[in-house]
Amino acid sequence: MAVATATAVSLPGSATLTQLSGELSRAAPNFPRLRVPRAHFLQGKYLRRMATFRSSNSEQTHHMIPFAYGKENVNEDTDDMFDELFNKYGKVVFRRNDKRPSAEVDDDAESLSFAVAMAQVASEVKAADIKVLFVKPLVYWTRFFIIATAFSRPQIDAIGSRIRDLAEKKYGKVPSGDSKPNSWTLLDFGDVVIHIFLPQQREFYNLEEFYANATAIELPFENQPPPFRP
Amino acid sequence: MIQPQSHLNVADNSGARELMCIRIIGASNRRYAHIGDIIVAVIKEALPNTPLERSEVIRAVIVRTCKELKRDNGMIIRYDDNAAVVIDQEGNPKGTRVFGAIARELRQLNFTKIVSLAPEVL
Repeated sequence: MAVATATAVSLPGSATLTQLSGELSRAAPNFPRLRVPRAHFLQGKYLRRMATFRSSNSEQTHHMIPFAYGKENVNEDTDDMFDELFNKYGKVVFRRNDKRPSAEVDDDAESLSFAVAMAQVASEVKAADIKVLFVKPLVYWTRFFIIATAFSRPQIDAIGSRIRDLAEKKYGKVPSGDSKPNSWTLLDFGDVVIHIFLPQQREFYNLEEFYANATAIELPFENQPPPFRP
Repeated sequence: MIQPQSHLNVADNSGARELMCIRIIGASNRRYAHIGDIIVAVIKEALPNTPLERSEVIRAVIVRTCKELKRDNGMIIRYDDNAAVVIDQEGNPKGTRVFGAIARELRQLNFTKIVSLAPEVL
């Protein structure tokens, strides 16, 4: 089953590469191969996009590539073939046969529990408007974003140090990123990236809008809404 | 290979259009800057009605260079232009979005903020 679907993926995969390299030609003309996706499993949405790319290639139409990949509207008419495959095999297609599919899912679940624990800590120190976003389908370099608002630099410091302490004690992870409190403090745990903003900066950079297509994770605790937002 | 007097494009929406490198931050007599290095630059061209103005001195991070970037695995990345992202003294980008493809080396160099604003990471 996996073999049959894997071939289906690889065909449009190569078409996607050439198409993307066309889009990239201004910035990196010589490296069409750089776009090899590192993700080991492709979600249904992603596969559909590849299907669209292939069909658009044959019709010589051009898609505008949006800021974060995965944002575009997918034309439903072109992928009947894939619909059939989805019905047969489900929405998740595994690409590599040598890697156990559950390992990837386990990694995701581990990062998710870590992200939720970190969000919980942030909420204990009264960070407001905490959002946990699953950005893995959009960017390859991380799995989860946590975006939170703090209202002063001492509070940012408190949130940052609480998160650092817990991550080191309980999970043995040490973040890279800002060591001093900053108006946009970023803690990079590899699979989880935590952004702590002052309200003004949060509105200025507007990361949620940039990653609007990421799925938000429901948090198990009461989330304070932002108290004031002009 | 960016050195003082090199002109660079700006890869963000901060309002500056063109920069000229005047100093490389780091060692005292460093010759060239590469991807991920901070430079001091002067704005040569700016969009009207933006916070940044011509002839202002700012800091910027180099995100693209025509000079090849080599990776340990043998991959080589070369861009068509030299480009930088304007940052402030704290390291926060002055613009809100970054344009074009950037290299993942920036994340290792603690510029994850720039990486998270970029549309494409190679």
